[in-house]
Amino acid sequence: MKTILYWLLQVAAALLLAPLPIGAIRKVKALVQKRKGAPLLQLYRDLLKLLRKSAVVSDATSWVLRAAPFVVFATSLFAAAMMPATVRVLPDAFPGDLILFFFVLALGRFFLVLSGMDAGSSFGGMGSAREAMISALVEPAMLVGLFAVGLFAKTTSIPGVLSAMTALGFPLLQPSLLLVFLAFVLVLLAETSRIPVDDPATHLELTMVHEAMVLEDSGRHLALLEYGAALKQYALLALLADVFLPYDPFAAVPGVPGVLLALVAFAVKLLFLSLLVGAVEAATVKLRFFSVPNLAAIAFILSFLGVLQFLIPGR
Amino acid sequence: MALAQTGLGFWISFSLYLSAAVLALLLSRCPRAANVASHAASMAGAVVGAAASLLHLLAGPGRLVLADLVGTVPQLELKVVVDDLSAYFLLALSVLVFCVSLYSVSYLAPYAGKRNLPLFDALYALFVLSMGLVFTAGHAVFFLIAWEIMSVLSYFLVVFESEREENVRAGTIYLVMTAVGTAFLLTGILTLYANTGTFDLGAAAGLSPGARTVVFLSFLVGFGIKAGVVPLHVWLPYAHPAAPANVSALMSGIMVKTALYGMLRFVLVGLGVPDGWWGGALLILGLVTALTGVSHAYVESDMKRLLAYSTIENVGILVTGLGVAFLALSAGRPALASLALAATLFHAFNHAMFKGALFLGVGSVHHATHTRNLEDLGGLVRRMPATAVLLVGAALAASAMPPFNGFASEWMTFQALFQSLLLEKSGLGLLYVLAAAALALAGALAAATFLKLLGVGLLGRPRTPAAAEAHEAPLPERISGGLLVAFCLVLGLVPGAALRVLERPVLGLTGFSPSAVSTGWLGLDPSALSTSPVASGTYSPLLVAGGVAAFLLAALAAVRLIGGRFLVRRYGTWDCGFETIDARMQYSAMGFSKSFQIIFRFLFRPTRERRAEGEHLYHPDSIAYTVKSVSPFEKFLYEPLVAFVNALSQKAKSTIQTGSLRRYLAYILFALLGGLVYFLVA
Amino acid sequence: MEPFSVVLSALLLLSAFVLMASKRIHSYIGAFRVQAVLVALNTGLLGLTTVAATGRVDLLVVCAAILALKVWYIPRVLHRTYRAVEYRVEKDFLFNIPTLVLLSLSLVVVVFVAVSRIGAVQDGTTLVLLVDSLSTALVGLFFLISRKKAIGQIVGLLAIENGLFVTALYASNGMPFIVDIGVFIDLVSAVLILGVLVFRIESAFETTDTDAMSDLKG
Repeated sequence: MKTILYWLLQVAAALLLAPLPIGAIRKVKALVQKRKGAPLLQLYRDLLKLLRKSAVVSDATSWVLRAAPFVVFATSLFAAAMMPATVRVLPDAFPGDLILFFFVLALGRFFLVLSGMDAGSSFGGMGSAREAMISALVEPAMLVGLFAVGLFAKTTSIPGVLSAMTALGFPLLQPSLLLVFLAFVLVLLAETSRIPVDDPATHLELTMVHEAMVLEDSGRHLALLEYGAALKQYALLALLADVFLPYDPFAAVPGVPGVLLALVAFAVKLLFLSLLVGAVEAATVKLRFFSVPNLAAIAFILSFLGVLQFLIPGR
Repeated sequence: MALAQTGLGFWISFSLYLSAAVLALLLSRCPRAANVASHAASMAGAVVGAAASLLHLLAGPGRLVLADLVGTVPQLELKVVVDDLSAYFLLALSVLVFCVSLYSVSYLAPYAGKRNLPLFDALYALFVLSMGLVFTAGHAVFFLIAWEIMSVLSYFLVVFESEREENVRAGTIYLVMTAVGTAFLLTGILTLYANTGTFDLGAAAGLSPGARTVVFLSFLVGFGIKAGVVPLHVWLPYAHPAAPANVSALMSGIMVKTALYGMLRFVLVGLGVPDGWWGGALLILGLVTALTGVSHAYVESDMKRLLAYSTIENVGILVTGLGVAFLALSAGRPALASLALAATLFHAFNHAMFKGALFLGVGSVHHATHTRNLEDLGGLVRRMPATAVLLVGAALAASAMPPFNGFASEWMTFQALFQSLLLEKSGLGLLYVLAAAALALAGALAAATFLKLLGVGLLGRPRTPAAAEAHEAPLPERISGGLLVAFCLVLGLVPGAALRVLERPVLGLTGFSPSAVSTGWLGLDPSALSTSPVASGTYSPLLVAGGVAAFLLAALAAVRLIGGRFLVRRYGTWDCGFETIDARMQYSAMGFSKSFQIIFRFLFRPTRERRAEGEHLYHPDSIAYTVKSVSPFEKFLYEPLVAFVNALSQKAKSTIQTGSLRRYLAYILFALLGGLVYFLVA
Repeated sequence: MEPFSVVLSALLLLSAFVLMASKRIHSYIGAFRVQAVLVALNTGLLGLTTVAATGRVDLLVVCAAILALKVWYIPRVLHRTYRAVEYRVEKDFLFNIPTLVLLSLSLVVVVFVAVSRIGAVQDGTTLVLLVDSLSTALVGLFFLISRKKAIGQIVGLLAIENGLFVTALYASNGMPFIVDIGVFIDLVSAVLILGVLVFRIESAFETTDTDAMSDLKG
């Protein structure tokens, strides 16, 4: 019973909160550029509208293009649900594992990249090739960072990591975790196709990565892909929030109000991280594609130094 | 159970393979019938073999001597022994052979009448039998004989389509490398014999540290050549693709695993607890192999060579896992070694399944389109839907995507690395971190490689008329590939079953059962094998698959509910408002990996050539753009070596082999005198 | 105070990598400035603890000197020099940036292995501080080797000094006051002289590529 309740809560939180960070990032960017910007909740309306539309599909495509949006959505939702929005009602048998988390996201990406190639357009192929390349380059940084986080918890299971981080109090005071946090921010930017790796607002096909892959999708397909991307971003932000900002100000409040307050605190953390991403996005420019390896190298170095900082004292 | 005690199943299986060869030759008048009969016999042998090995692994007596014939030749014993380790590899062999033989029935049919098909079938069956004997040889000399038979037969199979010059060249490179490998194996075996006085395979105690090192290095090089460990891998990307697809599947799927078996049998069983540096050496070699293999696979446009390079990558993963296990054993952590070995052996099995399926699927594509070049394909997902589905499935497994089997073994490898890191107090821990990073990179690049294979080969528009007119593969080919993919999925969903099968081989090697990792049907939890007090992460494939599937269905239902019926309007691909776009405007295979090639140009050293024809500089009639890259290993290691050997032979020819008869007689005299002196002194 | 200095030392090392990864002269100077701020923070922190413990203000004075010289004055001189020479982006590295950064990482590993072999240091925190600061110095040295233009080399020299200064700080709460101040004065004069030299090199060779000085061999 508790398990089912927990999963329902997780899925509901993910579905409801996922489009929020994107709205916040866009708002921050708009304000920095002295524009008013779209309302915070615009993406919710867009998604609803797109979901009501039927899809236009290229005559060169196959089942891959039509299946991919659903796979991307389902895997992103699963990964998002794996990241606890609140640890208050965590069930005993929790199947979450950090390595699994990233590979579930990779499964969604596999189909996304495939669907980019399906229409036989050069733009789709370009986006797919770039996405495959970028995701491969940041992979080592991600996994080493994961190992660093796991070293503190002596486990890669998500509840284990969370309880270890909660026990640390303020994890960012650990130099090791501080470095890993910076690495994960870079990974997040690359994985969610944000500036400086990709520009989500671009209208020029030649510079697109994520947008080029979904160029052939429309209507409900596009809605699911956008929603999937939002869920993926939510999942990664939730990972950052859970691991690096585990502080729960309402720990003393018991029962249902406590759970609700913890959820609110979680949403605030998400918003804070979105502000950070938005600030990075407003302050930097998109990198040349061949400079992305530099970024990946820096992320890897940060992760590796993070592990090193943990290993040096000899425990 | 009584059946398992006698080993009758293995006998029947081996004789069925032999009869497959005989049948093929007997029916050589009627090639089609010979083909069907021979492969039917092989399939029967495979079924019996699989059942026998499974029974042996679950309830067998452990070690079972099937035959022990001592002849008049000294030091030669025809000794066939099945133990748990042999049975595990025999199981992998049998499962793969069943599917590949089924595939061969229709795949080889077009050759009937054009080539000596019965001879090919006989060689094929004998090749399978020789691999079976390699896995069961209980005597070092017999092992070597079986090993050589396997190598020579696979050479014949590689050069089967000998009208193509590149196949002959591939075969020659393969033959030379394999001969070098055998020389090293011989060195290792003779060193063992010199120290123990017996050729029997088993624990060889009491070797001096120097002898241990010699034995380890000899076997590392000898088996490393067969497995394709970098830098000994140069033959593999030539030889594996040159053979017909069914043989490629066997070579990549199981023949490279004979090397893993050999390392386990001779080094781990033979020499006992490994020296400290062995594991480190294996780990580093494995990582270099994995990264080299996958980066070449990614830039390759020939489908079969791409798969061959991907085999090198997987060998790298296996060697890495072996290295982790060796390190754990030498540090006195058998539980951890069990986890690493279980991951390695599981991955070996998984690789046999998905690489087999990939080679078979690609073989079907090759037959349907008469090309292996990705640049000439495209749009096959509509022309060959079933083959496309099974290629996607196999690629998902090969890219280590959950819930397929590739992910289960990769996850276990990562957990083994993580636990090694947790337990390691010294700077060696950094090696594990690097290993994890390299494996992660290799895994992601493997996914990119298979995305290229699928995306360019199957999706989009057909690039040539051949691809546009491709026909779906015959039923046996689809069934065999489908079976292998189904194995991939099932093993991925219930890895606990695989661990149950793996339990006794690993127990025999490390003294620790890995089955504690399995939490029933639900999944894996390596904490049972960890010395740290906290659970070390869990993975339950059924929950993942169920969860994702449930969300998928829910999304379908929700979209239907919100947006109404699924109506799809067909329209052209987005063409920027210009007239039409055609197949040539698609992203090419080379383009897909070009950025990688540019980023890692120090590795590939690409040279490009752009040739334009026509009067106008900016509007030429046609442009040809070729990129060539040389393998640094071939250029800087093998070419100088070959040149050196050639020069040496030339010199020998001009100074020793002068053609003068008196000189030759003098050689004989000196040899006799030398022998006499040696006899007198000794 | 300890957790803060550990974090600061990690950030210091990070700043060395940022320095290594930057391409523009402008970002060199920025990275150096951040590094100097970190050194100053570290010194100030330690200075406050010594004031509280013993009442000595040496380190606080040194901190003020760092702020004045390394954070304010030297970057200003460098900026002025950089505006006067013709190039803005350094193009000729020894290797490309990712390779350089990965090589720097291996330097850190070497330092880690070497320092953990020193039996005398048992305390984990001290080990971290030592490894971080020594690595900063070594990465600075490698930076100096990897850059061909003169300003890059000046910055490299300063980065080495930063690393060594912090090493001394961690190892023995700083060198004697007089030594610190002496080193600073040396630094300033070095920067001034090098700044002048940059102009001289450029006017003599029409480039600030120090490799061109090999023409002097005759």
